[in-house]
Amino acid sequence: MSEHETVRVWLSARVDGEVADDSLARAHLAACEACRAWATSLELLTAAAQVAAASDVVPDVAATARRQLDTARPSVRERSGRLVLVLAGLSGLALAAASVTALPTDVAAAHVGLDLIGFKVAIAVGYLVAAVDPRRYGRGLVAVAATAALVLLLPSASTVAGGAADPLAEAAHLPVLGGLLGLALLVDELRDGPRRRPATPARTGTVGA
Amino acid sequence: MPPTRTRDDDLDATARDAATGDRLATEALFRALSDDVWRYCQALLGDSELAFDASQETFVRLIGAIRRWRGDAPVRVFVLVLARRACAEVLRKERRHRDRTADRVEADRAVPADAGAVEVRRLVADLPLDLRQAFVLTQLVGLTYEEAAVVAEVAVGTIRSRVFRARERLVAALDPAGEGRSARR
Repeated sequence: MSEHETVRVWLSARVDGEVADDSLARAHLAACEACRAWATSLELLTAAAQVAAASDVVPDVAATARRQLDTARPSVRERSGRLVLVLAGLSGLALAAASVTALPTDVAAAHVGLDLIGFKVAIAVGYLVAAVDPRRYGRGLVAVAATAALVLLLPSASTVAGGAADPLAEAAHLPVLGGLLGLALLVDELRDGPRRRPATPARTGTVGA
Repeated sequence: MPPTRTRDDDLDATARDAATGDRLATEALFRALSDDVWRYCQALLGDSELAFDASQETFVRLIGAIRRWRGDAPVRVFVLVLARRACAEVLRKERRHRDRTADRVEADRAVPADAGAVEVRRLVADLPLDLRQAFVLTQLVGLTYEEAAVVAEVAVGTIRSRVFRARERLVAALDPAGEGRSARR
């Protein structure tokens, strides 16, 4: 290998930051006009290659893989979140049904009790629907579930603190909390929103390397 | 623009999430690596339609393969190794197909606006495969020589030499008047 070639191999690697400075190569460059001109051409080539890379027209090459992801098995976290929503929904419905049988005989009190049961049934059904397609139906449920949990838990906390808590009545709030936990597990899916079918990729109109 | 190490770190973090089955992370990985995979497949195959097939196949394989990535090398290197294998597979299929049907329809190619970029692309496409692969991996994809050596399954010194040879040819082609400045004197 000639001295010119040795220096140009060094220059090439130097442009890529792959070799340290070399005083012998520098000395050769200072004395050799041809190698200095080659170094200038090298810089122009590097700039042109970067322009070429930046102006590449890249087709949607991941479309098929994304379609496969759509039909792929959901993650453990997503499956857990949906399971928790199902359990919360079913237990909420079961507890609501049990509460109907335990309504007070007083008409006014029974009316208030029925209102509360209706509210819990609505939340439970919401959880079940969200479990079917969390991306589509889960997001709108977050504010409702969070508010319900807050409204139900604040009085419960004061009741428990006062020592007058009815275990069955307090346990009836757990499905609401459980559903909120399920929604929290599905936070990525809720953020993602409903899935859109990817467009069919164009197979032409691209540039050869 | 060559990617930075910070970008590689971010990509690796995304890949770790994707390996746990995180769908959003997997899609983010697809988006981040599409350009690199496409350029590499284009460089290896020199045909837009075949490169498209190989790139698609790379990402389909990545869905199952990401769990095998252990972080020994950046995920970009891991994916480009998958791309090289996908290119080999696509090329094998294409040869079998060509043996059966002599007349294959050429892929349409649009003409980009930047004439300088076209010239560089054309010259890179004319390089021998080994030089083209080394040049594209280090200059267009932005890998270090060490990473390119892993993808191409050769020694780092071989990559250094091939990048130089590629540049030597490209400089000579872009500046024919400078041929008198040949290093072999």
